[in-house]
Amino acid sequence: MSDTLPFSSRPNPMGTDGIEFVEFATTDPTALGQLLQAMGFRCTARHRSKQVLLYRQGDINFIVNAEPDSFAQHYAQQRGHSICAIALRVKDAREATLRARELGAWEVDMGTGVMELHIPAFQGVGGSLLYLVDRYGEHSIYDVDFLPLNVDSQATDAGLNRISLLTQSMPGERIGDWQDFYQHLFGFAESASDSTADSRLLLSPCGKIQLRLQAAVLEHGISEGMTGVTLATHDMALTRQQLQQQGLGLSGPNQLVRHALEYAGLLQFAISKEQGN
Amino acid sequence: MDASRFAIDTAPLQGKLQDKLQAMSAAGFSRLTLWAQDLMNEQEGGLAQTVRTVRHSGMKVIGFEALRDFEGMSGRFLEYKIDLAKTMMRMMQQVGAELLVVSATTSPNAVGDLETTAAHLRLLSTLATPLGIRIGFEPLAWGRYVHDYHAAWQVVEMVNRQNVGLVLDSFHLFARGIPLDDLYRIPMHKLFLVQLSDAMSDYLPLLEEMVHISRHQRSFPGEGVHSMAVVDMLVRLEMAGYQGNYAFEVANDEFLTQDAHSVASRAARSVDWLCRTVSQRLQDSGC
Repeated sequence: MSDTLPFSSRPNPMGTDGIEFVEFATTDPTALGQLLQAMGFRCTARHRSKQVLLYRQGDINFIVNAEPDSFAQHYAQQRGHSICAIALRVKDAREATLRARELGAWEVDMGTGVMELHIPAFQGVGGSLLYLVDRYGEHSIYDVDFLPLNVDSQATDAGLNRISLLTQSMPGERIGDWQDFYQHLFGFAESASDSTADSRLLLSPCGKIQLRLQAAVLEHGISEGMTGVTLATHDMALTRQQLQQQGLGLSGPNQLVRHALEYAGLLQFAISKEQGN
Repeated sequence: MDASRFAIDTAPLQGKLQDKLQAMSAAGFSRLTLWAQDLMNEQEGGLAQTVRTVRHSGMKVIGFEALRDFEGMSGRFLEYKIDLAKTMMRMMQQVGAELLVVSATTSPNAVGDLETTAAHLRLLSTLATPLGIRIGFEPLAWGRYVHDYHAAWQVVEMVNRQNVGLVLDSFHLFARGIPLDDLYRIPMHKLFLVQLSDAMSDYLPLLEEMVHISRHQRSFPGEGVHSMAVVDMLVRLEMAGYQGNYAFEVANDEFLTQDAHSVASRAARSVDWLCRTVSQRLQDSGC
């Protein structure tokens, strides 16, 4: 794949502009938090009213949701540690929401609390959610809904700076359905040269979101879901060393993070080298 | 031919949902097509109970009926139809039904241009994707704009979504005397379901007669005047490589005066006759 994606001229009907956050559902936020810390993430804030934490590194935002009796909790009970939502940055969430509704995206009412931002949510894969966020960068959603925590001293930056790829798993015959979905709604396009016999790589029109649709048979009777996050590092040697010091190895051609977290069969982290370095 | 590819609809069977499912199962069926109203029956305990009944029966719901007069609507009519579609899809998810049958519009409020029709089916496709549901577009003999498989296939082709395909009902083809010569031109993986029935009379010049016979006087293949036409249709489809399901879509008032078990047995005999006759025909033609 080339360094500069030839996608700037493609229509971007939803105004996508990258990934704002990935939200993890868990019944054991301590164990998941420890893994994230070992990967160099700092816990920087907690939600004003919920058992929800924000972990950050580079331009990556991870939300760990352990709020009792919530959507995320039910999700975690079924799937273990897992991705229950992703938030895409869009230029104008209101316009994007109107378009998504009009085209048949399934809006989900997540119930906004007092003093909380309303973030439009749509039905994603495997019962997960797809948020649309237009407040990012200088003024973020975390300024409103989260309280900053003292700097977490337990984590050492591992050089990870952005989410380079999300992996969605499903039975092979469902790949076409989902490709249509992302193409039609968001203007994603397949990068045929990066597709394989059992997976297809889709790129957002903004060039900042890569999504791999992967044919897979999942465990526990779960048929599909968002199952992987690949993180880009600007310094592979540094990342490898930092992770090793924390007892985390990298394995396989995709540099999967080997960890000892239990009940994480539907959650995989991988590391990739930043393009252009 | 494999008899397990044949499903039966709840409509021709009398009684409570549980009794219907038992009768189907006892007659050897393992697949069925179901109506939204089957699940909403309050006298049977409402949705939660009817969903349990279907789940416990062990039978597979291969088709869910029917979203009507959807495409071509606008404004609040369209909004209402979208809400209805969502309600049906939620029910489908609960009973594990994969295919929503969307019959071509008959409404005078609907516009007929292809672009709008395709856009509205794409909307259904997008709604259906997260739930793993497929959309089957069915031409009706008395459809306002789409009343044969040529036009319906043109729509499906234009929609161009993997989870949108065709549903064909033999009654609607025969009622209009539509030739089957071009059936093989449809890519068979885009044919999501074939509904079969026979009819007690053939000549249907008036629309009202057509509708009346369709809703009240259908019969199982082998029992009426379309028997050999149904066989011919199956032979063509099998030769073209169709591997999907067949469903008996048979509405008949007289069946409802009879015991569900005896009607289901008649359906099973029809399956048996069809399998034998079609297999023989396929063999004779060297397949």
